[in-house]
Amino acid sequence: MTVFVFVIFFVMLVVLHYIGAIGWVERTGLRIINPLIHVVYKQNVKIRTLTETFSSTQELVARLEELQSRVNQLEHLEATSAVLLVENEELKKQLNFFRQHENYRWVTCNVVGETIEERTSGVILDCGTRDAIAVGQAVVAGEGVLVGKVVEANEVSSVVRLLNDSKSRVAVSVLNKDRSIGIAEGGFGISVQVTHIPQSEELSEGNTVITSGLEEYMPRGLVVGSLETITRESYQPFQRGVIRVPLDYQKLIIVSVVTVDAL
Amino acid sequence: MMYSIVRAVGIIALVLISTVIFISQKTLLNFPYNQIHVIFIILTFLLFFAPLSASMWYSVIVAFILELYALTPFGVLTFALVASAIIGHMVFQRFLTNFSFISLATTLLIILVSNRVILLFLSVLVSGTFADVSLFFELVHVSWEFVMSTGVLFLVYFLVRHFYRLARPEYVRR
Repeated sequence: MTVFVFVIFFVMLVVLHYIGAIGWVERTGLRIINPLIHVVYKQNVKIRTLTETFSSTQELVARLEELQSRVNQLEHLEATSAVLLVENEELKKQLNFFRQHENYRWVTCNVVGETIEERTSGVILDCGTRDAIAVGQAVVAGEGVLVGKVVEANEVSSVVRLLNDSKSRVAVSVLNKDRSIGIAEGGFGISVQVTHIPQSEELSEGNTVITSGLEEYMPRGLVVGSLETITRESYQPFQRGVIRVPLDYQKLIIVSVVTVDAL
Repeated sequence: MMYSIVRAVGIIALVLISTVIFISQKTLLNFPYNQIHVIFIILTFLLFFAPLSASMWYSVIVAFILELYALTPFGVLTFALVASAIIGHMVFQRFLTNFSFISLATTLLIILVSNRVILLFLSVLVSGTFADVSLFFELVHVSWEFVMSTGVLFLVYFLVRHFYRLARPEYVRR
C-alpha cells in the first residue's frame, strides 16, 4: 500500500514539475539548500587550497624546489622593490626642492660607491663633466639638504667630499637674530661643526644652519642642519657648535648636483 | 501526533544534512573517499530501523532536491532512488530478515547496484544510445562506492550498537 501511494506521488511530482505547478517548491528548496552548500563549498575550497596533495615523493621534492626558487625570486624582487621605493622617495623630495627653486639647475646622479681612503668621508657619483659637473659644486639630497661638494670631476664620474670629512669647509650662515656667518667643518667623518662665529653673537640650540652663498658655485639657502650643542671658551675668540645633520650620509643613493646657473 | 512531528523533523534534518554532504563531498574529499555514499548509508539504516514510509519520504525528498542540481531530466534520479529503496526493502523483508551487519551490507549492495542499473537503463532510454555507457567504468565505480560506504556503515553500525547496549538498563544487558 505504502509503495503504491509513493508511486502515485512520484508520478504526480513529475507531472507537476513538467507543467510548472511546483516551481515555487523547487525555488524554496533551492533557497534553503543553496546557502548551506555555499558555506560548505567555501570551506572546502579553503581546505583544498591549504592541503595540496602529491602523488609521489619526487613530485613533492620537485614542487619544493620550484617553490624555493620562487621564494628566492620573490626575495630578490622584494629587495629590488625596497631599493626602488627608497630611490623614488628620495627623487620626489629632490624634485620637490628644485620645483620650489626654479632658478636652480641641477643634475641628478647615482651614488656608486664610497671613497676608499680611511678617515675620509666621500662618495663617488656616476656623472661627470659631460653632465656639466664641475669641482666645487654643491651636492644636495632630500629636500635641499647639502651633503658635500664636488672635489674631483672627470668625464663620467665625480668625487664628492661629504660635510663630515675632516677637510670639508663650507661657508654657512646661522639663522639666529644676528644671521651669524661661519664655516662648517667636518670632524673625522663623524660630525659637522660650525666655527669662526664671534663670541659676541648669540647662538642657541636648534638654530638652522644654511649655506651663506659666499663661495663659488655654492648657492645660498641650502640646509646644512641645526645646532645641537654650543661651546664657548672665554679664552678663545670664536665659539663653535655641533650641527645635527638631517640625513645619514652613509645611506645616500641618489643626490643632485647644483650646477652653476643656480648662482 | 507528537511522534509524527518528531519523525517529520528528523527526516527533514536527515535530508538537509545528507544532501549538503553529498553535494559538497565531491569537492572536499579525494578519491576514493569521495565514493562514500552518504544517502545510501542513511537509507539503509532507515530501511532497517524505521517504517517503510520514513524511507520513502526520505528517498523522495532527497532525490527531489538532487534533481534540482542534476543535469539528467527531472524524475530520473527520483525514480531510481525510490525504486532502489523499494527493492532494498523487499530484499530485507523477504530474504534477509535479521539485523546483522551482513544483512545491512547486503542491503546496501543491492540498493547501490539496483540504483546504478536503473539509472543506466533510464539514461539509455532518454538518450536512445549506448554510446555513453561503459560497463567496466560503472562496475569499478559501484565497487568503490560499495567498499567505501560499507566501511562507514560498519563503523556507524558498531558505534550505534555499542552505545545502544550501554544505554540499556543493567538487568537487560545481563
